[in-house]
Amino acid sequence: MRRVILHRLMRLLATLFAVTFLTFSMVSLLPGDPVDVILGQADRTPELEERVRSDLGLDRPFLERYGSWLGNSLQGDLGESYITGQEVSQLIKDRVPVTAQLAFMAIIMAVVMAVPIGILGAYKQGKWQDTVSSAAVQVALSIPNFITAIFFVWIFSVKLGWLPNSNWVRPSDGLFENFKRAIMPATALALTQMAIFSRLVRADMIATLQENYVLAARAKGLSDRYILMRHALRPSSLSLMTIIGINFGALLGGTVIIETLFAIPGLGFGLINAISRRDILVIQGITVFVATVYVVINTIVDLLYTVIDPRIRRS
Amino acid sequence: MTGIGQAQPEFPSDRVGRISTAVQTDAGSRAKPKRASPREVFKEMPLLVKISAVWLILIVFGAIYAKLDVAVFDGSLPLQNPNLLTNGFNADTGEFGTGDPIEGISGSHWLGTDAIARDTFARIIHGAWVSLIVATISAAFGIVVGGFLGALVGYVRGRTETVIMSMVDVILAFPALVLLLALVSIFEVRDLFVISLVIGVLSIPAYTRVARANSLAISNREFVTAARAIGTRPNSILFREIIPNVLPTLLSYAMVASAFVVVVEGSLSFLGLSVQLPQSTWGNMINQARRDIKVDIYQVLWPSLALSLTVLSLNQVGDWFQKRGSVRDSAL
Repeated sequence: MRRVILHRLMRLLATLFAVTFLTFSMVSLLPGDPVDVILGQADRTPELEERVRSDLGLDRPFLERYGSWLGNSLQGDLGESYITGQEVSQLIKDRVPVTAQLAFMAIIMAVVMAVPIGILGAYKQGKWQDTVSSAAVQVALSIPNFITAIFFVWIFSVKLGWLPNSNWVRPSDGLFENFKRAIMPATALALTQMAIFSRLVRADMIATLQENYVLAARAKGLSDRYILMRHALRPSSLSLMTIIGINFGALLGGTVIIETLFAIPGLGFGLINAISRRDILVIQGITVFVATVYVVINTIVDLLYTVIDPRIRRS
Repeated sequence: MTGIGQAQPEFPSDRVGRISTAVQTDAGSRAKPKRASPREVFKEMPLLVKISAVWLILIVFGAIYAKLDVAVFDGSLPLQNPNLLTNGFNADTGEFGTGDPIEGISGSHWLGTDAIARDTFARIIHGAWVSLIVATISAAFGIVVGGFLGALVGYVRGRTETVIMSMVDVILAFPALVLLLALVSIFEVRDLFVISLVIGVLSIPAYTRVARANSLAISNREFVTAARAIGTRPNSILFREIIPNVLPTLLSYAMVASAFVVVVEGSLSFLGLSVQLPQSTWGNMINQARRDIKVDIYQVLWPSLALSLTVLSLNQVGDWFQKRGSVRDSAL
């Protein structure tokens, strides 16, 4: 057990190392003089140019630059934007809660919708209930979230006038107002995830329902409901957890688009703003942060899996 | 009691299960393969898959037609110019003509016109060209480079495998869209070539994983052992036994992967970070039309339908091919 965890942590470190290296080398990939690109739209003065040059340490070898950048990053210093003057780590700190809220709401909603749909599909496999729910899931899977979001806005903001579609309110400034603004973006994010999760739950349940212990439970005369919830859903919840981890990356990608569409001041919108200004250090900082979160979350899911399921521990 | 205990085994078709390790053995093995002609394959399809296949063919033809119209026939084919302002706007005087900017469906504008009176139908099929090219190039990169790498490392194993697969793991450790955005932001000029290239290169790792899984399974099969036993050179085992058997699975994976790529390109366009205006793409059409949803939702609806139906169709056809491959394999 301890060896498994240790091994996984080693792999995490190696991956993080590679991910940071790749993101860092992005700046070196820039065509032309990096100073030109980094300063881009900033007010250029010879002093600023000199500062950028010494900050980047372009005269030093690449690996040495990477080393000092990594060292600073580990201490929470991702540099500051030359265009807005804002500290990148502060920008991230301000924006994380917003994105986290959206992602969290989306995952909860997706699971709450997916589990019943998946169970229904497995239990009524091949019957009309299964056909209808599978078709609905296919459709939900094929409509990109920004399209869903626009039609939500059209229905709930334009036609019905129930929900506002911009002017984000933080939870601390009014929980209900915040909820009214978060519900549409979160649902748009949740639908795609829901489709993926419910396909998994269905396939998983169908496999579990053929296990001998389910047969034994039936022989004991336990009710369908009890078997489905207690015997069949439990093992499926493990794979559900894994796929939530794997899909977290897609979800983060989704928040970029959805936040931009609803003008929500989260990490994703921050990234798009930075890209439109070609604010390289901010782009770099957000990318490295998001990738790190994603890698760490997947490691945690993996480890939890090992802790919960003794069968994996042994192999 | 209905479901419990009587459930039929089924090939798991969730996204994870899509990375199928099914081996299609009739394509390259020694037994004379009986290839089904496209028409026979089409006949085998269930109705929905047939409709999907027809839709995809229509999109491909539409895209090529639009491109030919501009590139070869200089706009003389029967198709509206996607960039022509049809409301009689006079650029010299700055005066507008009589036409409404946003028009509904009519004989001359099949899907109406957008906010600056350009023909929506023409813009959609010109946009199809962008989706088609990006999807095709990324599939080509994936199959050729990713497929080769995966087949190679699954067969030779050892240190080559460790090195290549760790590189693959690192790239897949990034959330795909975020990495793509970061890469795209490096380029100042974003034309169809650059976008296809970036998406193409980023497609390689996923294909490598699929190809490796298949190659591992095939390398352990009897015909490979037999080939080895009679002294076939490793090179020809790779090219004549392994790769032909990995290819069918990769092709059906390419369908599903293309669906993802079409969405990704749509998302980039929607954010204004893909091929630049005035070239129309489905994503940038949706982005432009969403500003006017208070006036007219249809201009959002048409490109959205084109995009969603294409993704749905690619998923349907890809899933069907994958299931078909795995059923054949289990029948052996």
